[in-house]
Amino acid sequence: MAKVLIDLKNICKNFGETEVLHDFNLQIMENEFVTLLGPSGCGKTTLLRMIGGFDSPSYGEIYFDGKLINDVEPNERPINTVFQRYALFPHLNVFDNVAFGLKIKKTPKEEIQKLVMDALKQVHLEEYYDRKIDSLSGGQQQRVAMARAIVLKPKLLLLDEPLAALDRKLRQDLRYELKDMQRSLGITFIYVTHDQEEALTMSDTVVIMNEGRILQIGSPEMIYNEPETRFVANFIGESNIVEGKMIKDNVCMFEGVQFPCTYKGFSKNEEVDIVIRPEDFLIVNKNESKLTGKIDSKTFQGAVHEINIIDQNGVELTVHTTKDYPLEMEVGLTVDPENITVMKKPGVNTYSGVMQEDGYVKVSDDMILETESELEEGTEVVVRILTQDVLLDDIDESDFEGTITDIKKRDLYYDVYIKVGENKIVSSTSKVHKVGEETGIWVKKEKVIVSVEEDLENE
Amino acid sequence: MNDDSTKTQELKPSRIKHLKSTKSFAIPYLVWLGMFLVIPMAILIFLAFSTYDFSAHAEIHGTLNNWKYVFASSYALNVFWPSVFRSFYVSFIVTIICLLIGYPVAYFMTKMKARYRALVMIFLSLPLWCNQVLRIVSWRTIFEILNMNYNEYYIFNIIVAMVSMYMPFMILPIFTVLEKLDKRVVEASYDLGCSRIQSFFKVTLPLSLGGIVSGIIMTFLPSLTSFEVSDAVSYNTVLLLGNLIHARFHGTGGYNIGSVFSIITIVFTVVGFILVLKVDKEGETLI
Repeated sequence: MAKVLIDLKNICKNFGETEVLHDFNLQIMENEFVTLLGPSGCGKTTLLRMIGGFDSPSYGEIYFDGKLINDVEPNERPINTVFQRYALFPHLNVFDNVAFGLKIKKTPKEEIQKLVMDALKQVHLEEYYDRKIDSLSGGQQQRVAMARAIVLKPKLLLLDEPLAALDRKLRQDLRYELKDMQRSLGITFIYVTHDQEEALTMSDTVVIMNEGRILQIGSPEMIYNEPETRFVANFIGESNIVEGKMIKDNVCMFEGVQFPCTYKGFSKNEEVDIVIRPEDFLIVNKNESKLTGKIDSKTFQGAVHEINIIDQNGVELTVHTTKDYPLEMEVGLTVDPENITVMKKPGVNTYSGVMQEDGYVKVSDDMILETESELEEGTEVVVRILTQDVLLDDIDESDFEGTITDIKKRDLYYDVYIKVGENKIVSSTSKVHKVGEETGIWVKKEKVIVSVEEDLENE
Repeated sequence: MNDDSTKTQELKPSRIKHLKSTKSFAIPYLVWLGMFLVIPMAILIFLAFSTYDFSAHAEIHGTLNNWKYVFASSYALNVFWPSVFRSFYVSFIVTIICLLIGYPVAYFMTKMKARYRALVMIFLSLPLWCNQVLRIVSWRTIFEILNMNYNEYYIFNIIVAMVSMYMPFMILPIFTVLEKLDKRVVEASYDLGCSRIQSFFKVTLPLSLGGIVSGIIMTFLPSLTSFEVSDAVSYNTVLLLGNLIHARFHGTGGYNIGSVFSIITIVFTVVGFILVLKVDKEGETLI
């Protein structure tokens, strides 16, 4: 069993009012190639900077090899970084850039000479040792940055979008080089990128992040084939996401048609999201499937034809095929059971309430929520709060309080059920709580969704 | 190695076309330059190598006597060259003090929050809004109040006044360079094992060298040629290069010798600028 190299526990980071990381927990094994993948602003670079020591967490602990390193200066961590846009020293040539760290460590001269030339050989730049940095191309600078970091033989290498500034072809070549290098050096890599292709081709493990939280952790295959949320399905590759429900174990229904699938354990008729990759739809004769549609538009994309089909309910589905079909043709669609991905809908707390002064909504005497709504006082409203937006905190720091009645373990978090007066509220959190515990509860006012609706289905 | 440099791929023809179309905008300045730089320079050289001195009865013929006077007379030996030496000495001290005080100021300005930085910026530039002569005269008053208005204090007083006068010109170019310095490069040095002090001497300082040289030139040259400070603070008893030139053009009959002084000063200045351009090839630190 591999050893845990980096252990992040309950990491929170606030910049002023903005919460960049929310209660972040992650373990990274030795020799693993881990990619933090997410859109810009999801907190991935901040996380990397904390591991490197350039930022410190507002709350939580970072362990390296079992030792707490929160207060260790960056120069004392056995970790090196390949910076975004490389951050090479412009006043030094290639050799001196790579030798920089060794000179600081007071390595003997002959040894520096040997180690630097070895590192340059590894990145195929040995002939460029006396060149000035600004005479190198982007790809070469990237390689110097790699050599400068690996020459120190760190246990952990952090890479912050190292390929982002390069052109497409070069990026693809360097991906394989990086992966090879990681294997041959036996160094743990933590790689930050917003490019899903990069993440899928190089990593052992992909961590998908959004808004300072982990959405899914898994191997590239798992992330691609079994996205757990709409966000992941959308972010990783193209996909068709349609609403559906689970009829019973191994049978789901979408677009009014029942399909066999490989999912079980849902409640009867539970509403779900169904994900089908464009390449997983098979086009058949229209009388061979109950799911039919008309070809609306198509584009040739080299390896595949991308065909947009409007189905019998007017929903657009995207299909990738190697065969060309004429426009306006009526076709049937099938999909293999193992290619259907069923996602649980995100948990929502729904309440009815009455608007108060200044945007407050009163759900009950025990639950008054601050919102950004500008509706008039006295309006009857429906309030929805995603379970992941319900935050648990000390009682005196919170909006209202309740007693934990039940806790259910999910993959990455716990669903904590809390009784607040006569209502209950569910919070999805990665912190460990105990049944029977009193807890404070608060919800950011921008996360409370207020709407005016005539009928509210009772929970 | 099929990496193509992205830098060298920038297309040049469009830039050249653009330059052509905007060329005419430079005309007013070129005219200005011609009238107030090229023509006066020509006159200066003419005066330095001739006997003409603007008086009605002057003979006009070429001569090297002016140069002989400046380089080989007893005046040259006893007054001119000692003053040149004194000027260099004063400018040198002024520049060193400005650098030692100015660099830390510039450095800490880059570390400040934008709000406080703006405040420091205002304090730095505020004196420049006030007439230079007024500022110099007020220094004289200050020294009078401090009872430091004596011979033995004059050089000291001149240095203090000059430091206050030229400090912004040291701070601003250094600040500009430090401000532009890529913070990730500094972080990279920590990452590679540098302590904060090591990082400063191995990365920050070498990378701000351009600003330091600009700052040195920007304080050294004006101090070298200043006449008004010594004039006011030492009642014209401490003679500096600037005072000698000033006296020649202010009094009577000194134009030819004054021109030689000026040309020598210009040579110092040009050498100074060549030094700057050697260090700072893109001229980004010159204001």
